[in-house]
Amino acid sequence: MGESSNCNYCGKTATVHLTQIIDSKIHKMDLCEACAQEKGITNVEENSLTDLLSDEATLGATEEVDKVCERCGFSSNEFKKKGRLGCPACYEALGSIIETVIKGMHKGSRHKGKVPKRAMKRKLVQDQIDSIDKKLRYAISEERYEDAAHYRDQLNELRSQLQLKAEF
Amino acid sequence: MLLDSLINSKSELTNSSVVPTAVVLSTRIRLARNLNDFSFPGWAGKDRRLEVLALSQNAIKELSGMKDSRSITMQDLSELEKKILVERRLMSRELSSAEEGSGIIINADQSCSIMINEEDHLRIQVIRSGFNFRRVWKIIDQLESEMEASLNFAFSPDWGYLTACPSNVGTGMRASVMMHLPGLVITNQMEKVIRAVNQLGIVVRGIFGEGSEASGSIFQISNQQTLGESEGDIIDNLGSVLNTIIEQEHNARNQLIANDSAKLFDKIGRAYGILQNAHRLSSEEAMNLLSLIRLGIDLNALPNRLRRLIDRLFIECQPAHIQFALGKNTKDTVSLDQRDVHRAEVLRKKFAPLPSLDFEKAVYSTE
Repeated sequence: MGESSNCNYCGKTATVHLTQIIDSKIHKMDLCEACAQEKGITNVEENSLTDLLSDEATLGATEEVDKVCERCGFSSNEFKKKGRLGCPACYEALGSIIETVIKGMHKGSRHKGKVPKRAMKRKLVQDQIDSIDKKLRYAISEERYEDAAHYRDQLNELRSQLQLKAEF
Repeated sequence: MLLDSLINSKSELTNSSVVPTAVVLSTRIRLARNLNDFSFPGWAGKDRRLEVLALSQNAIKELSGMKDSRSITMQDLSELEKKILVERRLMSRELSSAEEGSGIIINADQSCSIMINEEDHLRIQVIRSGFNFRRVWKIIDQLESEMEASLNFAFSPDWGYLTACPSNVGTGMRASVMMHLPGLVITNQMEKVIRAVNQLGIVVRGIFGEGSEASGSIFQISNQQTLGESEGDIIDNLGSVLNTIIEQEHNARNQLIANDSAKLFDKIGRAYGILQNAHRLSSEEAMNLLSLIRLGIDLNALPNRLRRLIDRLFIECQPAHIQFALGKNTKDTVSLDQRDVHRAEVLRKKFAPLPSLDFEKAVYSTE
């Protein structure tokens, strides 16, 4: 040991060197005393090292256009800084950086396991809404106004099933 | 008063429903869940957090598994009360410093606690004495399903349950056990074991004391990754690794006895003597002494029935518990020294009536 390197966060001399091995991949981080405290290395309740890993992956992720989540206003730059997201919609909204980070920290990239009954039903309804919305627009563009009215009524019915909240 | 009822009631960790066994103290599963229509706690405004708190409290109090539960808002707790809850493993330190709109709901025997607006909207935890993932999963699975019936959980078919930090996405499950590994600690094998299990995506932490120290040779061992495997897979993988660690712990203990039993018995004997007679004990020292006594019980030098007492003392010797036992108002400053003196007094009283150590029957068996 005895390597002197700079803190990954603030550039000061690093005194805490972390090495983590997951799936035969080695992840290293260097921090100064202050940042180590701040990042909660002394916090044993949760796996704060994985939070850090998220930082390491996001810090190293390629620079891409800053995306913003429409629902909550959180941006991918914020994600790079905090390692946490703003709202559930951020997962889709913030683009490939999420996928990159997730791939780097988990064993798989697709969910296996428990599924909530209500959420699955909601997704089905949402998919229906999306497809009927397309039909509605198409009908309007073709001036088939009776069809359009019919689709609009269907959409209203489906939307009320979901009871969407507008504000975030 | 909250603390009185919490500490004096029979809780799962201090008065467990099953007879405590060697090595594995308790099993815990935690699930992270969020409400679909709200921003995560770290980004949501105060009003929205309060809405989440109210929605969650209303939903949870209706659950069959949470009748007789206590709902507490963080704002209403003193610093001492928060520390006690952390020491009893009912909440995380992060919740202690959470903003307004955070709370916790705890059931009657303190085997289940649900944190609200910590890092995620909901952190559900079930903990039971002994080594039993299947049983704990059954309880928490049912609880979560009931909650899901009245709350919209954020979920995507691709990513699974959506969480504030991607490190928890998917199953949102952290499964862990508390293990007592004095054999591996004394024979200096912990580092090797930790490195080996890290390769398999498993994390080892010391849980009592500051930082990750191996206070009392008690470790929390848990899965790290939450996406790509089902809950059953995670538990099975973790379970088989844990069985390997248990075996290595047994081997280390047998090794210690075979190589120099007098040295080991001497350590345990001295620990017993100090616990019966000391007048000042730091929490660190108390933990290590209690750890040796638990080992002594495992060696049949003391009756099995005393394990429950030792496990209770692990918690009751923690700083906030001792401060509370001193009977001081939370506003009075209690010095470290006063706590250390009182801790020693508590231990002298508990150890006075115990039978003496008997190493005649000391043989290590893996029952």
